Amino acid sequence: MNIIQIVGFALTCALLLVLVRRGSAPLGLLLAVGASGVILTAVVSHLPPILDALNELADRAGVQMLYIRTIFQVIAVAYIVDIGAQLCSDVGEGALAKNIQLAGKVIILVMAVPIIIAVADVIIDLLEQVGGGL
Amino acid sequence: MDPEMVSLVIQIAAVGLLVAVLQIVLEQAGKGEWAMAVTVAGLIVVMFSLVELITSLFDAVRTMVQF
Repeated sequence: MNIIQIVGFALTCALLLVLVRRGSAPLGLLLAVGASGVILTAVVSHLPPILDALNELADRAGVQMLYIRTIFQVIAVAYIVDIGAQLCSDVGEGALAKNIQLAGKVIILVMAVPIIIAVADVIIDLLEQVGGGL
Repeated sequence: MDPEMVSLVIQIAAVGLLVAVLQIVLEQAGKGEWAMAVTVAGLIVVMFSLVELITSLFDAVRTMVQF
């Protein structure tokens, strides 16, 4: 991991951001978006081995692929929402940031519905078994 | 980190600084309306160059989590 490269890039961008923001705030926002895009792209390229390992682990444990995929999607949505909201609140648009967070929560809930139903199914099955045993 | 993308971000910063300087010069020359136009032009140029970067990032994330 070229972490020193990433941190150096981020610090350089922060320095430039302070300069650009003083001139024009909108361009500062775009610069922040670009910088986070570059850093995220650099990080994302390191992720596939980890995801493969987790997939294999889940496969070995007999967890359904659908659930693992949903969890990855939820994590991705959470990170994207968090960065978007932070960028919005950095330029002083707190209300917009809250809206983004709300949208993220709703979307995560929608994506998690199959998992919630599966958990409910398991609990109902368990209760029925216990009830039958008594 | 992709050097091409890094240079893109540095370019954005350069455009930002250029726009800031132009803004100050134009305001001093008493051409406030042109200063606004320069800002908007810089914004649009930067936006177009950013679209590519964001698209590639979202594509990478999308293929990874299989949206």
